[in-house]
Amino acid sequence: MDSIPQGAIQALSPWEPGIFGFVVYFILVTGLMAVILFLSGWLGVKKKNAEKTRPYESGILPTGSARLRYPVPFFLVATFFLIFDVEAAYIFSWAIAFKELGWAGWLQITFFIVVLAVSLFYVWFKGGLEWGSTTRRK
Amino acid sequence: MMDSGWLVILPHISLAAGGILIFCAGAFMRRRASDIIPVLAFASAACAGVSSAWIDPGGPGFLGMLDSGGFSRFFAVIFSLITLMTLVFSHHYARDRGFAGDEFYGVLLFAALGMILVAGASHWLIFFLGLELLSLSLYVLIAARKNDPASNEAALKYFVMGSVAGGFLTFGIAVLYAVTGRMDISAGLGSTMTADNRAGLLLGLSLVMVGIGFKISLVPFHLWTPDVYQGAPAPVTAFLSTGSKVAVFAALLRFSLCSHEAVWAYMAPLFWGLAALTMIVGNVTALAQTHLKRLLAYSSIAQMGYVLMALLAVKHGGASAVVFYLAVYALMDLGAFGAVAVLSGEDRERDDLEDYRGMGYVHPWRAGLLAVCLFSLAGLPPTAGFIGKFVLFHAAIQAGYVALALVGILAAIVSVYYYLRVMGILYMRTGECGIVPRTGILGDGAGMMILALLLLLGIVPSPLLTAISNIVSSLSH
Repeated sequence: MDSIPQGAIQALSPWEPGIFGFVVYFILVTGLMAVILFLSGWLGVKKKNAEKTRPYESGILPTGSARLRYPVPFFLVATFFLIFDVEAAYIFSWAIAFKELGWAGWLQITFFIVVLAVSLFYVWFKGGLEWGSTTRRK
Repeated sequence: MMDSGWLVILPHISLAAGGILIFCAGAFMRRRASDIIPVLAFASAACAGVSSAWIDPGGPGFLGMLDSGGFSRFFAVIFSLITLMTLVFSHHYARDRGFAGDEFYGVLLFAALGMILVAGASHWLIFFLGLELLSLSLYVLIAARKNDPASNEAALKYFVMGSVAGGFLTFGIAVLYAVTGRMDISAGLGSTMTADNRAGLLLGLSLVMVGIGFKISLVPFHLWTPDVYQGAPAPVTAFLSTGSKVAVFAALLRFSLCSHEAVWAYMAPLFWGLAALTMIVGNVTALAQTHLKRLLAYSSIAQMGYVLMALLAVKHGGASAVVFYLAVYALMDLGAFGAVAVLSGEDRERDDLEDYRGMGYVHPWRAGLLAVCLFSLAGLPPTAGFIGKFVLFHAAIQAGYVALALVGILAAIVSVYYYLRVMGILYMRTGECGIVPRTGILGDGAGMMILALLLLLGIVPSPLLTAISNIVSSLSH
């Protein structure tokens, strides 16, 4: 450190996190993007055909209409999955502190799981797991 | 953790257990469910009320996250009463319209649990959990009439806007935690303001205020209120307009009492503007309404403006006025929307004001309940609304907010017009008003009880006022 003069250190490493550098960067990036987009749109050859206008879906050829109705049970099952998936997150966090929480923690997580199990039976008895059935049980 | 905590959450356990039992009864005992479920709901709400009224747990529970002082117990009793009244008003209403399943009653109890958590939270996490439980339950309750497009539209509107407001609130809590390093509400808001944390503190508080302003429908955030109140079934509207608003306002009162003087100096001008806007816009817009539920919705917006005005005086002893008015407001709005529920026709609700023509002569008692509640909302003696408004304006003027009180008094004078217009339709004209189905002895009893309480509190308010000032003084220490 001694061999380098103080003025040189300040000139070589003026790292002062400020907004100015970020603004310059932002202007440069947006400007460059605008130029590239404009040039490729202006200079590029535009020939439309059916192959080009087809939506790209990971290399798989799309078939049928996009205006299809999803079956409602799909959303219901997705919701059930979310609810019971969150249960796993709670059980994992309990398992990490298994020894510290002791028997009280064990009882509490058991109660939690029992309530969720009852709710699974609730969903079952209410007919929520029956796919596509129109005769809903009441 | 196993010793003193259980007494604190006795009302909570009672409501949660009631809700779970109702769901079980609905799924596993389908034969007798329709008889058991209302009884279970009624019993668990009554248990919650009794245990919060008479059992003193003697100290905050769950690592100090849940307040158990007089303040939260007082509000727990109010919410239990609101839930009981809603159960009574919705009993016949829900059965006649075919949504009296286990979902309705169970979710109603969970919403009540959310309210108690919101009002009793001394920790941001509990507050957030309670608010989310309350909001999620209300989305379901508003959509209770599954085949009614208006009900579904109302629920969707409330859901979309409510979740956006919930996002603001969560971010605000996160910013407050980042700045103060405390999740404890009173410790966080009570910390002194320095040059370092001023920006973060104010940002966090204003984000939290967006969420709270949505829930209690202060004026820039009020646009959902009339649509949702109109679309929801009338007993649910009664529950929504009283319970949800009173719970969130109780939390706001706690925040204001806890906040440091320096923080309060920034919040007060904001509240001044919000209160003035809410009172003016709420009352002036209500003048043009031709539907009773929309009119009552705008009136409930304006009522929140009056309470917010008195909240400004909270550092000068105005808190008891706020609590008193919240209790009275719960009674008045419960009665008014409950009257809409018990006066509604067999197939649809009586929504247009013209449908109420001459109702005062055909159904004198139920129309009388509506009339007294409107009188009280207008702040006319000898009802509790008069005393409530009197203490509110008294508190505001004592604290030196004379200009705001003047705005409020002018707005209240304007409001008398539309309340009296409804009275005119009820009593001054005669007309064909259709058949009103019977509501059973319980519904009539609840109506009578609200009527009696409103008149009683209007004539002898001092016992409740004294009790409330004791409760509030214990909170601020």
